[in-house]
Amino acid sequence: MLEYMDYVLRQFEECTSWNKDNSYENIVGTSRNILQFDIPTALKVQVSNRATPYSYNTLELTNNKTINGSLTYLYTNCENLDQFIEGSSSVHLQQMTQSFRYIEPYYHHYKNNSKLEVPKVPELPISLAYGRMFYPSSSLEAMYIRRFPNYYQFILKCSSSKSGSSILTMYLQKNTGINCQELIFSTNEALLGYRFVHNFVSAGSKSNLSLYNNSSLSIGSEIWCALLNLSPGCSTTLRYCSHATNTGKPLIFTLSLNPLYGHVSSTYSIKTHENLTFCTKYDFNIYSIQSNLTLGMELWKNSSSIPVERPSEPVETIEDWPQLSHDKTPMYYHLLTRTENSGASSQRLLKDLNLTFQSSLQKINKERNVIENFNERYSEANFTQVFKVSTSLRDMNLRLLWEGKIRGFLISAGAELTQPPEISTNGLDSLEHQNWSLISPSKFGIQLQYSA
Amino acid sequence: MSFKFNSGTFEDNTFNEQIRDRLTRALNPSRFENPESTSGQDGSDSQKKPKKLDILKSGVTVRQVDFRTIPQLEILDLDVSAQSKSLLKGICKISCKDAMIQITTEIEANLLLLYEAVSPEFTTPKLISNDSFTVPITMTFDHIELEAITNIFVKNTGVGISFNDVNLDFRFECSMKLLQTSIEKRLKNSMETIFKDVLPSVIFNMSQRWFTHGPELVEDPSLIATDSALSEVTPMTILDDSDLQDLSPATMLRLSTLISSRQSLALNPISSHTVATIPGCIERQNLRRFSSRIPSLNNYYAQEVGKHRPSKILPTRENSNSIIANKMASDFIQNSLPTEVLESGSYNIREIANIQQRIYERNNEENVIRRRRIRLGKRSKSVQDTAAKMHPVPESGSLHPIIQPSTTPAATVTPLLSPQPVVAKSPPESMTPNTLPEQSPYTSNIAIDKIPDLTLPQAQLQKDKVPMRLNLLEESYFKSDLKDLRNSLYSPMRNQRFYVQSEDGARPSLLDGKRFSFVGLANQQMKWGNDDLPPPYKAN
Repeated sequence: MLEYMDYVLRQFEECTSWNKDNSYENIVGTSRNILQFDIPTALKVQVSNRATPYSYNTLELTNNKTINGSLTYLYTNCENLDQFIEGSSSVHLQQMTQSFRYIEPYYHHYKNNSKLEVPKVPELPISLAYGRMFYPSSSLEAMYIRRFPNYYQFILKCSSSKSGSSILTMYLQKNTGINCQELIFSTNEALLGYRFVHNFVSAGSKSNLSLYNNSSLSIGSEIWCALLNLSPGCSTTLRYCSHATNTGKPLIFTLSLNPLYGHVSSTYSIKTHENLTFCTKYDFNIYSIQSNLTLGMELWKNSSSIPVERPSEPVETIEDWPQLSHDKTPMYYHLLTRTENSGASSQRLLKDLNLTFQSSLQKINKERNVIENFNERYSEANFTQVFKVSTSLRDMNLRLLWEGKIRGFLISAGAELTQPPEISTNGLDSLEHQNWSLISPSKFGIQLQYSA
Repeated sequence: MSFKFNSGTFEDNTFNEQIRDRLTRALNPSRFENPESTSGQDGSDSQKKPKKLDILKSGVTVRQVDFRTIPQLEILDLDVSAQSKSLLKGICKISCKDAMIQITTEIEANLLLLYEAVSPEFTTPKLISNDSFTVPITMTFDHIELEAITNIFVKNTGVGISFNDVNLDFRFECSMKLLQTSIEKRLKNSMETIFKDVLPSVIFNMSQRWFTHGPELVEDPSLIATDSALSEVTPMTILDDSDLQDLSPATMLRLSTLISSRQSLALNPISSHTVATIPGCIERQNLRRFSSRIPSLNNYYAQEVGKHRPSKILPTRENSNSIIANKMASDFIQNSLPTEVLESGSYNIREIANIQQRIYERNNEENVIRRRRIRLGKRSKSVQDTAAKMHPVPESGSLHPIIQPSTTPAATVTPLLSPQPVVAKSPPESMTPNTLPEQSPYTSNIAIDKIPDLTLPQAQLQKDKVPMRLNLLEESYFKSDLKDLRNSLYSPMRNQRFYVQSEDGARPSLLDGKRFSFVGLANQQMKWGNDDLPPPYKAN
């Protein structure tokens, strides 16, 4: 379950047309959300509200042996952020849950939505300030985000606590759509990092029977170095997102490689139905030949109410095509050379072409409709609960999470069952721990959230 | 007194197994105590206490221990009652040859993962494909040759041991060649700590448990944790009670009665600073040694008189000592410069200033310690003042530093010291070398206005040749003030803890808790003076 402030943050990025998925940090976000989801570890109650259109606050109480709490404030000068944010009773559950991230190609254009304004890249710098105070441990978290009119975004994060040292982390990000570059510096061990993602333009290939090509291929990598102790880190990841041709079901495939430690991991996630997602992950280390298989799934449940009857879209005829270009973007428009004087001759040519490839164009339209309908059905479904399970073979654990919306409250409950780790290879030790139970819950908790 | 040494344990090679078990237990202390301590952490990351970075992924396993030959233990000297504070004192030579130890463990090679785990989630960037990479590591210590001379002290509270002249040689092999040199370097650096601090404190702690049979000595884990945070090296008990069942408590009781009967109630004028088990008391046989260490001009120059004027007094070491002893018997310590020294001009102003400062500091220990201001640049005044300081105390019983009323008021408030007496020795042009006080011999009751400026001509200094090295023994002794002396006479271990001496930190009072008075234990600075007591046992 996303916390309210994370939700606000995500909507802020949406509002300023910052694509969070186009970042190397989230390149394997889908598998992380389905396999390594966060499990609450205590009884946590969170009450949030929007004080003004520009400020938000949260009060949180946690009971884990002792009662802890935190106060959070957020301020932004983003003009229409409040239109994007809804209270817990009206928000869609899939917006508050870390779930399958549907990756759209970078040339994707936002559809006209009557409800929301089309987010635009802002013309003036927009900033967001966030502060969180924990008590009684009296540690602080602070964050400052500045979104510049061009492709840049700057994030400053800082945490300070009495027990530990204060840490400052800076991100400078440039997201042009084609690629995204980030420069990161953290004072913790003087960690310096650079990461980038590049999206390839994919043209329809000859072997591809599907003419409507909504797939995207991205490659990214990162380089880290902790300057204080000279410990390096690097990785490279390939991501391919596409849709099944006939059913329009989205699928994501990633392949990550860490050449330094010889770590290879591949994930495959597919949304087989609007309310069912599967993900598998296979890890392998080429140096130590250790491997691990992780499986996970999530199951969404609709409310019992009758689903909204969707009027079937009228089949478009050839006559509609010239007008279509106004409100719907044709495919491969980015490949078309723009001619200034696209006069009647070109218009006629287009019509001729349309006539010639009438069947193909209709096929494109059909496929496109299938995919878009699928996505729409998912994003607008009124889900009430979601159940997530994941298990890992090497770690011998089972992770369960249930999230739901009951009477305006967002509730998240989860547990992790693990086998106690083998303490040592020593014969003496294993004798002592033999009479342990085979599987015990290592953490569990419930989180309640209400926001107005 | 007798003791039994069961050499049968070492006759066959079964002790190798025992060592292996003990070592394994000692190297995995936390895993035996609280295997479940990691579970149940707080939910919010920023509320967690900073965990310690631990690159060990599994316990340390001792694979192989092989002492091919039996370790040799040679008793060089055994003295049952020489030192008044110890029941038994001995010098042993321990040697073992051609031993081998092999340990294995697993370490985490991905350091970034470790740092990510300990730092708060909020400010830590997420790394992709940053999984754990565990590397097994095997370390083999081959051809271990150990030869050490140890001093063993048995007291009624425990056993103290100090290692002298440790010769340790081994061949080190690591399964990761990349790390071999750095590990080897670290090992060599830590060896000194092990033999100086860790081993003695381990043995002492163990013996203390055994001597007192103490259930009250149950170690508080939190105390140990804070201790270990302070001193990096956590002393841990390797041997346990079952090793130490052979000692009879009755014998120990008898011995402690014996030692308490030897304590006398001879009170010293400075009662709170005495070196004794009972507060304010000092053992009779230690009295002379104690008072000969109180900084005073007399004590300092006593030996020098003997050295420089052999024709006149012909003092042997015993003679000069007995002189001091007689003076001690009159219950005060003269702080006056001997006439012979003055006449020969063989004094050193720097030494005198040092002694006076120490006397001052010692007497002001209970009061608020004010740091002396040392002013540079006031040459002539400081010379005067030092000269005044050299003047003996009229009431010789009290050892207060002399503050002359005849000097300026400013000097009275803050006694000035010349930090560079050598500079002060070069006279101004107006002064002539013949102001040297040969016509006015310094006695302890000389008036201040009769003292000429103590400005020695450079030539005369050269001629007299009072080298600093001459009094090396005394000087190094006097440099350590009484605090050091006191610490030197005691073991640094108090109340089961290895007591790290710090200059500014709060020192626990001598008068509380138990005292473990091991003469010469773990003492690096102290040099022993000109007395005829046994040689210094310094752990160097």
